[in-house]
Amino acid sequence: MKKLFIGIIVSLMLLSGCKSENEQPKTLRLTTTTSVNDSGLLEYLRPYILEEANINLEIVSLGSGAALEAGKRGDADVLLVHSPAAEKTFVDEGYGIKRSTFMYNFFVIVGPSGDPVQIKDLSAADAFKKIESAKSPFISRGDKSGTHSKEKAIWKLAGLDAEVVSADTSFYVSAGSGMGATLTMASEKQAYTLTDLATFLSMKDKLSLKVIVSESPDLKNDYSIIVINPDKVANVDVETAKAFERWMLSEKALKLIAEYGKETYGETLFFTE
Amino acid sequence: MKEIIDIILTSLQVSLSSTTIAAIFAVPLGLFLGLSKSRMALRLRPVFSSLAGLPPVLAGITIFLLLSNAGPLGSFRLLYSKTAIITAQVLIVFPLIVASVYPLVLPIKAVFLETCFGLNIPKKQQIRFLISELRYGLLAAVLLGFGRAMAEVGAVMMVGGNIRYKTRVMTTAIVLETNQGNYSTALYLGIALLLISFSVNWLVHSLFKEVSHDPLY
Repeated sequence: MKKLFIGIIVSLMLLSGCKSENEQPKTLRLTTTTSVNDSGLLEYLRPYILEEANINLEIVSLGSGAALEAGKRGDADVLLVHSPAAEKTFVDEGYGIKRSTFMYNFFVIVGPSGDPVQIKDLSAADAFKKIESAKSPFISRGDKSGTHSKEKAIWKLAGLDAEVVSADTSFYVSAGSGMGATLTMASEKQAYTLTDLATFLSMKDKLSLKVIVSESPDLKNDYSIIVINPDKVANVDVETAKAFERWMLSEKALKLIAEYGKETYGETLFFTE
Repeated sequence: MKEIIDIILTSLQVSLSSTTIAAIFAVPLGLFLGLSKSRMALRLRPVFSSLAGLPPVLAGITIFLLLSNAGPLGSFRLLYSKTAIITAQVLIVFPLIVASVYPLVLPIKAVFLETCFGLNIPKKQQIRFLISELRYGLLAAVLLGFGRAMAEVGAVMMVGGNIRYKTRVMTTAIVLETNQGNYSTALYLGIALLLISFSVNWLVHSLFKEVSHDPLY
């Protein structure tokens, strides 16, 4: 019995070791934003990537800010992010080889179904202005993610200082968490929030929120792939990262991406050019 | 379903590994700290007691910075691996076991040493007697460590990255499911976690009973 017990422990310890030996494909450390990961897009592409590019993705999902930081530290080989301004700085500083913007979608402002401050049909900037002046509850990601930087950009467009707005605790809640958790909080508190459409649609059934503002031009959301520059960051697998980038930019991949979501949600989640 | 079983196995694998590693070093150190009268031992006792209450995220960020590619051990590429999780858990569990072991020795120390001295028992055998005397307490200390390792979330998320099919464990899976609004899945995973902790405890206790043939137990 004692031996059996030790046997169980040892075999459990060895379990993972045995498994990884069977995997010949190249492993690629991809760090992406929570919004992409929660949308399920990469899980949908994973089998194609494995078969056609022989790449096994190891996905870590972080806010775009943390994702870029992971890139700088060399904790990722490639990034899939949506924070254009921060990305430009990242590439200019030499951490990334280049940015390939390959797909986009739209952020939406969601809120209680009654739309308490009547922001429907407004531009995002005007909607934000109205939410602020009515002090209607607003939940922010507050985590330096791509969505968070988009939110700050919209406050700026609205002629408001994001720093000042975010300090106004009478209506502004900085959640400091991912999109899913932020949406849940917005639903619980019946507040407005800015979200990517993909995450919202994938959670819609569990939320008592509705899309209030969508497809306003100031809500466009560009996604880019950035291969980490091996000259600046040590220990990154640039070959596999480039192979991944090539595959993601291939016609087949773009077509697959454009089709994603139609079946499940009746809507396209990501557009390609 | 297969994925859930994988997650459960990963949880067990990392937690059993970390608890075993921690216990191998922590139990002897705890016994030593309890027995020793040296000034160092006296000073170390409260240190371990406070480290037992170390915020796990502190262990998490420490291991993260050490293992991150830009950190001193970066070239081993251990961040976001099971090894990283095990390391963080060892750091959390180790002081906990030490801090639970040394107080076991204190109340019996005087009588124990006197008896050993009186019966002229050699040092080596003294250790064996001591362990046998304290077996229940030691078992409880190690199981406490295991429970702590299984239950850890924050540090495991930081250094493991919650990578599907690789470093996703039960607690981080629960966080993920909750964030995605899948509360029922999260709850089922939570119940599974609880049941597993029960069964491991039960298994260890019954094995212990069988091995020790102890009428008191």
